[in-house]
Amino acid sequence: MALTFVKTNVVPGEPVTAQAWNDIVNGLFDVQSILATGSGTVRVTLTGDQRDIDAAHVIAVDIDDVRYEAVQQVSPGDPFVFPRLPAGAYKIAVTAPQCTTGVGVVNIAQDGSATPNPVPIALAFTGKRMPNVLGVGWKTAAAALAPFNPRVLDASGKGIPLTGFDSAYSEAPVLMQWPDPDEILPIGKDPYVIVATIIKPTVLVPTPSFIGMTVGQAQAEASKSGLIIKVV
Amino acid sequence: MTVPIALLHTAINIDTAAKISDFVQIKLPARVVKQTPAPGTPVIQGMTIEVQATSLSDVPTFVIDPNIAGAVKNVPIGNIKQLVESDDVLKNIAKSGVVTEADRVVITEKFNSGLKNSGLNGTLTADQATALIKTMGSTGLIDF
Repeated sequence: MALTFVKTNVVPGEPVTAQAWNDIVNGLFDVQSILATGSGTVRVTLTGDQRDIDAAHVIAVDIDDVRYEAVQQVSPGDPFVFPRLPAGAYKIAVTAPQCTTGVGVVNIAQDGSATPNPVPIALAFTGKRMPNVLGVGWKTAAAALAPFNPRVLDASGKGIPLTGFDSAYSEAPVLMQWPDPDEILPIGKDPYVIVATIIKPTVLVPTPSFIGMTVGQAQAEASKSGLIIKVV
Repeated sequence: MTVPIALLHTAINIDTAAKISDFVQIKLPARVVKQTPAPGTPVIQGMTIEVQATSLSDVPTFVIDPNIAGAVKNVPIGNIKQLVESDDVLKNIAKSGVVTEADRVVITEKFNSGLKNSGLNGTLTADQATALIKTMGSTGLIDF
């Protein structure tokens, strides 16, 4: 419904022709029609992990592939809102990092009513979130991190395996981790953690007396204390 | 003129080498006479202890007692040790450190007999023999 209105003023006392009057009436009718059309408000309610919902983008696409983005909710639980969509049919897509794309449809009638309203869409997370292992002993942290297969170093740069590690590391706390707790592990990236270095106490033994022994006897005696004999 | 390297060294006669070899085989095994660190010093496990070892067959008797009788001062300690350890009477005297008048006669006779059997000249007096047996007993060189 094209509206072509040519502004034409009249001077006081000049009569208005029937044609002019009809143009005025028709023009007002067109304006009314436009204003009454496509003013529908659409709400989209998302279900899923609130962390995914907070990062979601809600897009509506009409039949002409024109995209509209919903206004993000103000507080958790509030729906996303398209304040004013023209009448027509829309596909709604909800995207969030490492979630399957949630889809829905909505139709807005000429009177502005939306069906359905709100539009319910579920978000499903398919990625991995880094657990919080900061300060946790390595024995416990290793079990939590097993599905992530992280790179693990101690503070001195020595590599530590997830299993079969030196038992002295069991209570060594995790000092640093990437990604941060609850952050999504980027696809194709390896997480890593830094564990405290263990310090093994030095074992001191008193030197046995080897005086008077043959070299063979001295070597046997030294080995009992974990020592080595060198004949000079 | 070029001299072959082989000619610069004196080759040991085969018979001589065999005799030396025989001696090496019969001489007493090397024993530790010094160690670093000293006994009782705290050390880290895995540490190397340096020891100096020698055969008592290579050490003359005057080393342990400069005042020892001249007849035995150049006799290896190993020989004296073997002589004492092979004779129960001498061994018991060395162990107890107590020498009676009767012992002095026995000791003197046995030592001089040993020296003679070893092809050595000279003899020990009773006082020298007594001093030697006491020295051997007090040094810890005799295995009782």
